[in-house]
Amino acid sequence: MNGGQPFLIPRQLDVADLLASTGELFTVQESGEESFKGIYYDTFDWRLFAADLRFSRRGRLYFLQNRLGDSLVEAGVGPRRKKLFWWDFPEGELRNLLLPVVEQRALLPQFTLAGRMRRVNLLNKDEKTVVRLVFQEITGQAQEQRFILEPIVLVEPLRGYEKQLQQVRRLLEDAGLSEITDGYDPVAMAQTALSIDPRDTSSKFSVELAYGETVAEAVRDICLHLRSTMLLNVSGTLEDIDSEFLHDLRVSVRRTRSLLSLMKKQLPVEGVKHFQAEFKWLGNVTGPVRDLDVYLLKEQEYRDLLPEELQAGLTLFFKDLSRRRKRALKKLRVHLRSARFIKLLQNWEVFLRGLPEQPDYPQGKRRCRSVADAIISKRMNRILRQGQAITAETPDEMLHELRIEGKKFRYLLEFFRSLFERDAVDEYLKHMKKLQNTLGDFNDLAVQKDMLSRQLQNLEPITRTRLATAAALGGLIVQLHTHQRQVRGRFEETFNAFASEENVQLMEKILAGIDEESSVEN
Amino acid sequence: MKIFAIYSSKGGVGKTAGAVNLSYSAAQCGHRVLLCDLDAQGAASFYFRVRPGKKFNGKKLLQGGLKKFIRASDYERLDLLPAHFSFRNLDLVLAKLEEERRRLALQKLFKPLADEYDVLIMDCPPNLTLLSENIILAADSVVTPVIPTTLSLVALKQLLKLFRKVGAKEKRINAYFSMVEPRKVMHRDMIAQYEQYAIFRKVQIPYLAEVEKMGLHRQPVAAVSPASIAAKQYTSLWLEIWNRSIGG
Ligand SMILES: Nc1ncnc2c1ncn2[C@@H]1O[C@H](COP(=O)(O)OP(=O)(O)OP(=O)(O)O)[C@@H](O)[C@H]1O
Ligand SMILES: [Mg+2]
Repeated sequence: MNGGQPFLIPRQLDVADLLASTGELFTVQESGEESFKGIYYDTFDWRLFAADLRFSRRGRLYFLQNRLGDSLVEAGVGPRRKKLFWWDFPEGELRNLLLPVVEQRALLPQFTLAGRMRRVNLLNKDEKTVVRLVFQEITGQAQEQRFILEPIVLVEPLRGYEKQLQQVRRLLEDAGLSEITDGYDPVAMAQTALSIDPRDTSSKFSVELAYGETVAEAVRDICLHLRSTMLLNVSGTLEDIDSEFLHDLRVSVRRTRSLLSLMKKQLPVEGVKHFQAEFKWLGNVTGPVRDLDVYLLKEQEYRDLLPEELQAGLTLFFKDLSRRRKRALKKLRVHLRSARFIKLLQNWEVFLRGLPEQPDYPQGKRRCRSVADAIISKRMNRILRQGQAITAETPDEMLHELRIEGKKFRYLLEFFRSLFERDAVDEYLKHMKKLQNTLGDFNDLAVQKDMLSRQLQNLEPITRTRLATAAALGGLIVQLHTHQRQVRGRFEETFNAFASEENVQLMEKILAGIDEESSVEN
Repeated sequence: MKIFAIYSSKGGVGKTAGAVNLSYSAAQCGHRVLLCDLDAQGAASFYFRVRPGKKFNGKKLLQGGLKKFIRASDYERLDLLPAHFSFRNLDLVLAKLEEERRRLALQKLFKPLADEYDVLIMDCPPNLTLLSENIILAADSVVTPVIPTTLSLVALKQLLKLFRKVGAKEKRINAYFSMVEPRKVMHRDMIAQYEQYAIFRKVQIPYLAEVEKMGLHRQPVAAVSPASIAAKQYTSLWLEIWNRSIGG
């Protein structure tokens, strides 16, 4: 299939007629038919697709290809399941390529494509093949929905027969076929046929605000977007497809709460109070499963931190975590199916849609951009002040506070990114990310250490297996502690890089500038 | 890229049949193969139904830019550098070069192909010229078909002499018995007498109607009948030669 130039065949065109028309120049030789059927897998948020990877199963074999169908690794075996993780595949290149893209997400069957390929050789007077044609017809099925992709023909050139290739191309174009210049990608065509837009399920936050939007309109737009992300992730959480559904659900709750707190003074206090309380509740009830997920995902990492003698002690520990997660999930399901949750999302939508027209709410009519300017500069100054106050002697709590401030600030920039020069904002976020990573690592390690210590204290009564677990936990705590100190040692350097004159100026430039894309509309 | 020259100073011993079928076997084994038809008669090109491009000429060829003359065969991984009458001039062109440059002329010519092909096979004309010398110098392995007759062995002795003349190692010779007819006493005797020599490969190519008919089909024997004896023998011969060439 490689190197073939794809042409779309208009539906009304008969392939036999088409071949007959080439007959004046070439002899047409049928060289066989093939059919194939593949189940195409991707994550809920189409991570493989976004990375230009196409993953399918044909029979027992899994194929990883690029968007043009070129194989990237030898086909590999794997289980035939409705849901696959990277760790379900044997060690090897296929797995190595999947891992960094898919991470902890499950691969799900998205649709089936079944195709028929008919190969035809075009021969010259010496009966030498000079051009090959491959006609492809593909039909698809996703759940109950069937669809047909537009038929195509691939024109495969043969080295040294460029003139003949040009003749064939001209014939096809004259017959009304159009070349697909950026290559033939049946997966993208299937998505179009199914009206799937992979961006719809992407977990990356991105909302478009108009430059002239008022505060009320902007809050409405951002929160409605976050609300739809919550909804999008509910069923995956209930079905427990992978840990990312709950994570993304929680992140959008956290973002919502963060916005409400950042914009406190710009919102109608009475109306918002109830929702703040409810989202806090939602954050709380979704917490336990996520906390356990964090550890369960770290199983391999923890094992690798310990010498072999101590690793066995972790087995029991993780078994126990799994059991606890099962119980926690049961409770979580009850909450996510409760009237309270459903009402919350319903009422929230009604509230948001009515927000711009709320009476006695003059702050809401202010232009969002100028409000955003003020909040951003205030928050940035606060972070710089807090960070500069931290020395080697400062208690750890200050770093945790700075982390929370930083996270809020990052959310803030992401909320309003479309009101500013986007590239500059992205650049700034990139610098921020380094600081946030250091603070995040520091905090994660502290939390993990705490949790493990608590586990250690609760190990009763002491049996032989519990003793092994205790030894393993002890070993881990030491490791995490050392690592945490190292991260702390790096803090000052990382912070100074973030607080550099250059970055401060970059932010000043962002606040002074206008976003060209949005301002055009006004 | 390994370079193989199918060479004998004697005509009609099965060089072209060997070059065509060994090339096909090599491609079937997964190698990317370029068959260079260095014989002005163009028999190998004929078997692949390939005609040379109009502007092809030997002088240009030696100046490089050989890639644009290459043509795809009808088979996967197998390309062809077609013959042309002006190959006759190759000797004259070579003669004009100084000795040192001449030695390296062919090697230099093939160098740019190394990233595109794993195997380069030359079908050589039956003569003893400057070109032959160059071919021997450029090739990693000289494959020479020998019909088990006294006359054919003369050609083999000539080849050994040529090797000594240019200072090439005899180890690089792969001789094999070609067009073997076991019914013939002379064939049996000659094989018995010479098969244990180190330059001879184990696999023999018998005299077979399928090979003779290649001129009719204009395809390698294995492309017409993959299960035929000829197809199997050529593939075994290829594997024996290839393994020896990589095994040192
Ligand atoms: N194994 C074989 N069995 C039967 N016929 C064969 C066999 N090998 C070659 N031939 C036939 O013998 C003739 C000469 O073979 P071929 O052209 O391969 O020899 P050559 O050494 O290349 O000749 P030249 O020196 O003229 O280039 C051809 O007609 C070919 O079909
Ligand atoms: Mg010949």
